[in-house]
Amino acid sequence: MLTLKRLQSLYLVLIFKNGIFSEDALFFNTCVFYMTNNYFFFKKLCSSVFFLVILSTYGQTEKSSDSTELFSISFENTNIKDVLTKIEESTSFKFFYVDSWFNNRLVSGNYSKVRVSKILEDIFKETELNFYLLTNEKIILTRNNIIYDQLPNGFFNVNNRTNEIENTVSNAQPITPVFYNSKRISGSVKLETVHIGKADKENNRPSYLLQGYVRKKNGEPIPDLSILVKAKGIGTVTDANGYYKLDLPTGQNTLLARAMGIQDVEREVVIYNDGSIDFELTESIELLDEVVVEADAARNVEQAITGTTQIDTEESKNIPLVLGERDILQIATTLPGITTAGEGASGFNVRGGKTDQNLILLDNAVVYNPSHFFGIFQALNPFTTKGVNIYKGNIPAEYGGRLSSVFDIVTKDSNTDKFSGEASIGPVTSNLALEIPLVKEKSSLMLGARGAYSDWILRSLDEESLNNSTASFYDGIIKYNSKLNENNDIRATGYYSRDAFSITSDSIYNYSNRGFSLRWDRKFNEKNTGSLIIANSQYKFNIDFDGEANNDFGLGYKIDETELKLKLKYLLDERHNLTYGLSGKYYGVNPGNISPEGSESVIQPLTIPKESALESALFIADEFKIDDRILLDVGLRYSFYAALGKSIQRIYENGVPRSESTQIDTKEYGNNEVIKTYGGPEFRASVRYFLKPDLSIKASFNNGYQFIHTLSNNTTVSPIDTWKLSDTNIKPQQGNQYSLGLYQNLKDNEFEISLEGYYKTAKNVLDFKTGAKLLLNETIETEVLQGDGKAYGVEFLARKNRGRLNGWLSYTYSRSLQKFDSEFSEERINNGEFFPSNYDKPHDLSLIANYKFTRRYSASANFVYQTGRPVTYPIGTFRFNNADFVAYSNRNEFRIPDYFRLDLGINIEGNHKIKKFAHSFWTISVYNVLGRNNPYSVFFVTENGEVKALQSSIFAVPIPSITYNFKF
Amino acid sequence: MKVSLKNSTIYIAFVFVLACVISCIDEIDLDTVSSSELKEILVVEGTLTNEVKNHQIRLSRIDSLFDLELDSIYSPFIPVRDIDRDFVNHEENAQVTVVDASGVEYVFNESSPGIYESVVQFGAQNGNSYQLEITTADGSGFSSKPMTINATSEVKNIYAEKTISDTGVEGIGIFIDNESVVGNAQNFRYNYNETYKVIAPNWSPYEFKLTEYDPCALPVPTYNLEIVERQEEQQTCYATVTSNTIIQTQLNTSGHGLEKFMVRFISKENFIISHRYSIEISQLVSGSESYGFYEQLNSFSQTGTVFSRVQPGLLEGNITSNDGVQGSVIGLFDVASVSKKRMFFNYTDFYPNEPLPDFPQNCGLHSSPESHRSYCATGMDGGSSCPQSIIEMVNMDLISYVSDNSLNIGTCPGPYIYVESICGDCTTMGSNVVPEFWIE
Repeated sequence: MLTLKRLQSLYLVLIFKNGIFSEDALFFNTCVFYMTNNYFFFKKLCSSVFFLVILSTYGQTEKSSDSTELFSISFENTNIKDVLTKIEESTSFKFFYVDSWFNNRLVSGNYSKVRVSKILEDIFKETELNFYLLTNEKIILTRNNIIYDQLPNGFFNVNNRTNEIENTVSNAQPITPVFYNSKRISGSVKLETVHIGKADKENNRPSYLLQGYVRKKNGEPIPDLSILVKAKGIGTVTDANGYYKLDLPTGQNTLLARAMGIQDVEREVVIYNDGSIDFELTESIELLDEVVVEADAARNVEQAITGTTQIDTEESKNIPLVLGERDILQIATTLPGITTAGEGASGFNVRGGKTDQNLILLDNAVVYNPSHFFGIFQALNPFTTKGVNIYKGNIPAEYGGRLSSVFDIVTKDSNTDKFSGEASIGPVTSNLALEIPLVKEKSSLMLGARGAYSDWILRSLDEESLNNSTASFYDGIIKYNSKLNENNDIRATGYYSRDAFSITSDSIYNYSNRGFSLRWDRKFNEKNTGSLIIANSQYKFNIDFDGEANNDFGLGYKIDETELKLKLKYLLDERHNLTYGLSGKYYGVNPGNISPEGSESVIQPLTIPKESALESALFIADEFKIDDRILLDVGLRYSFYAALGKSIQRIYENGVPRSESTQIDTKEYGNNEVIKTYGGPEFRASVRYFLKPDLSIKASFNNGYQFIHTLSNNTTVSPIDTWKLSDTNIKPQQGNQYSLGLYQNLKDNEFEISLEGYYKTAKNVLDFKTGAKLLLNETIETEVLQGDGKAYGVEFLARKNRGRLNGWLSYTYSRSLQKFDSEFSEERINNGEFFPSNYDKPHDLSLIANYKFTRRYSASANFVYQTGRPVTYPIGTFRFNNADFVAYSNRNEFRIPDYFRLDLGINIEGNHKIKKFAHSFWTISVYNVLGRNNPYSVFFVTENGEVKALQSSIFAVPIPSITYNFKF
Repeated sequence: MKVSLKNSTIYIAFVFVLACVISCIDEIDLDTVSSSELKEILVVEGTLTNEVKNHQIRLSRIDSLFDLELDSIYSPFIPVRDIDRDFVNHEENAQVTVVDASGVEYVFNESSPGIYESVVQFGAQNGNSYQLEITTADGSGFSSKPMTINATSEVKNIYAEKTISDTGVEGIGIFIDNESVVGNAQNFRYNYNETYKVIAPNWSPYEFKLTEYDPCALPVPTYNLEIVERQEEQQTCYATVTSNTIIQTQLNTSGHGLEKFMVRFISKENFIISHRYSIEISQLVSGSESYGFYEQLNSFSQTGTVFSRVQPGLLEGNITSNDGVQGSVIGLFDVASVSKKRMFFNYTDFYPNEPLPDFPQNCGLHSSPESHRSYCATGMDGGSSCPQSIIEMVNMDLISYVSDNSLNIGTCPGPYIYVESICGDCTTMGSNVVPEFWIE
């Protein structure tokens, strides 16, 4: 008897002989791997064609073999395996098979002078085994399938159209071989593959009957369970006793069994003949998780929409970051297309968009400023945050109102089983998160708190200049999740973050975010689910000025929004997956007020009147699977915006620059009276096409409106930037984006490669006249310029998701340009030509690598390189109007020095003893190991009659830090 | 061990995060335009008004030196005549003409470096358009857009009133009211010439007269120092200053005319109004193009706060290079109608029984030895700690005679008491000629 090993080596030889090995080693090894594991089936890269090539070559030699030799044999109640051994002993035949194929079936027979094939036909009659007579007296056994020694008719029907017709005449029953070629890429898929019947050359039907019954673990039958055949549009429902019957197309099918309250089960069924499968299902949902994880792994190539990124908090914990703070938003900037204006600058520029063009959601509630301390820290508790989905290309139709991106940050669902928690102690902040079950397996509460002890440290430092400074922040989150019953889930999240700091001794700035959201998910039936979401957010800042002079004041700004959203999903059939709904959002903005502080202050109180608006949308999207290769994701969103009273709108003369002197009229609007409406359809279309199972090409187009703008004449987001609603004089921004990309996953999703290009245009992008006064300006429209934007780029990302060494390399080449043209010089910038925006950084490279030495020790590195951002430079002085003035270069004509930085970190996980109270995790990291002096801002001073460019930097030296995390 | 490590980490981290926001500042190199490129940028300033006179066009080149702070700083230790008033890169030997719509050419000749004056007296007329054409010495040509007078407006009233400024300072505001005469005047720009009487607080009828001075004579310097009656009027002078700030305003289309627009604010503490003060305000009615240009220019000269830096950029005017090269010229050729009015007031008109504002210089009485060690003396220097000698300072025109030193003041009392010349001689601050327009 030959062992399997010998079988393999035989095939190695075969492959060599046929010259197929020239493909490559990877190809080859994979084949062998599958041969051993999957009983002789060639899978994945060993394509069906490959399979046929080998065998057809040998099929020809069969004719000259000794298979016609006759011999005699008898056996009674003998194991099949023993029968085969007996044949081997008495003849020169050798069998190739896997021991486990034979159960304890006993066979009897008495043969004299027959061909070996007759004996085999008889003993395999009741089994799923087939045999194949190979040359040199070798017999290969196969389970279920059959080895064909000639290509079926019509196999190459494209090339041999005429032959096909002839053959059909002569061959009444065309052979319909089953080629089994797993769509599942990973070998670790938990899906069980069931093989039904054995292929029979005489019995080639297009479909076979599959029947069986479905019961729970305790034996109780499950009625009304739907059994669907994926992608084939057929299915059935179990009867009252749990029985079902289904006509399955010959070959490979994916069965999906689902019913209310029952876990969904998928099963691969390869059917060769009529047969039966019984299902035993459970009520837990563990298996579903497995499926989701697997689906996500291939998401890069599979999903239709372009330009998406997910970051998982837990997975990113090894990446070294400044002061050891885990920060998913910071990590986002290491991915292609997402940048910030500089180190410590808050706000993201996504694919050449402005910082106000990002919709940042925390459990569906908008967060206006998700950062602490000038953007150095994220304002999110890393322990309560599950992760973020970033849409920078095609934004799903359910989202709108921002042109560049959506950052959909979700918090974890709290553990409903047992009390647990996580905490960290770092050099700047401490974090704590607790998960408290309320009703076992139903509801629980999560609390997260985080604070900086910088104030305390500042006071205890010897440095006198810092003693009066203040810099503190904290944030807290509370989340409740409850599973009301099988079909209803409720989640509620409350969030608050606050910063207070002083830069000069006489003023204190503080700002805060507040968010609240309530979400009710309901499953109506198998095909319909829905979510009702209500969310409220507020952002405000205050400046308290208490100086020497009698001009002390308090200044405040506030924006508040409330959104109601209904989102429904309808699984029409296996090909259409609809999402539709509507949303309405009400904005209230207090654009600013100033009041004197102290009795001596001469500041005149002033309040800019409140603004309000309603932004609503209807949306529908369909994920439409045209066939296995083409997936369409099309969406339509109709956005509607109405600026509401009470308000006084100023009307300006047409064709001249807006100013107080060209104001010709004012119009007054009553409470909630519609002032001005804007809106229109937004298209979100993308398509994915599989070039190969793991290689896809995607294209998308989307457009959008943005009705709310930040007023900022800074390059970076500053906490005192204000948000302004569109009105009669300020139009909404509009944007279009086209993108095209190639995506490939290699080695069972271990490697992910993507290359994506985009081209964006924008209209009515805001900028300001030079020297504009933005705060407390009642006639802000006279300071606003609205122009065109243009951005394009190519993004490359290579990612290794598993293994000892993992991480990613991202590179982006991109440009971001703006144009402000007008016939009046005061409304024109750089002669009305396109010029680089403040955040135009053509080259952007990030490398994140993590190496695991053992389960407990790992090291990680983070390298970033970016082109310096553009600046406007003073180039000289001139005399005009009896005074000297500084002349500046064209806007953004020069660039500050390039940015680069290397961070290193070591992570030590505590030991994994089961009975330990807490699981600990140490992070030791050094930020900016090279000590590169990267500029934070560049400014100019005159010294000895010459202008000098100075830069200020924040982390100019390596910053070591150590953080201790523990979980309990 | 662990604890101390952590503490030091905290300490290090904090010093960098917080201190560095303020203090990690380094000089960097940016690729700037080379200075030869800089020289190419021509600066043009000219306003043609409806006033019949010899109009002026000023041409200069951008200067890479940043001399913003050097102007008009008085130091008692530097002779006034030595202060390099202004360094401007005048553009000389250019051909400058203004052509009107009917093709009439007005030639401008260079009257002093960089200043080109029309050969004939003329005034811009309503309904006509004017275009400036420049050919520089290197042969490059520049021209402006054709400009017209938009409207005319008359300054109806000019008056001064006690007021409080935006920053809470008490003082006197100079206001105007105006009225459109032709068309609808909307954009107003103001210049002024203010003339004020200066009375030297420590004036005396006598002065030093130094002759035959040889500081290098040996063994001691030779000189002849006399106290003589002042030769010229040095007690009362008239200083005239031209405005150098951009004062503009706009009027609504619906508006009839400006009312009580403050052109100038003078703090109550400003010495220029100590005695008698006169201001002539010129109101220019310009178009929105020139209004926008001056607005931009104005905003560039303002500094912002940490959170709101002004976003600067290349200034554009209405002048372009004939070869189409952009950014080679900055400037504005404006055509405007002008209306002028003058007024006078005395400090006592507003503050009758109050002390006059302080003189800008602290006029302390000083004394020092009359002579000094010869500049050419060799050997040991006694190491005198006395102030500079009288003859040295008289020689440099730094001091003004007050009286004999009968009180024996000073650390090294000399024979005379003197003050810094600004305190005793008003000609350091103005002219001793009474201006023609002056009304007492």
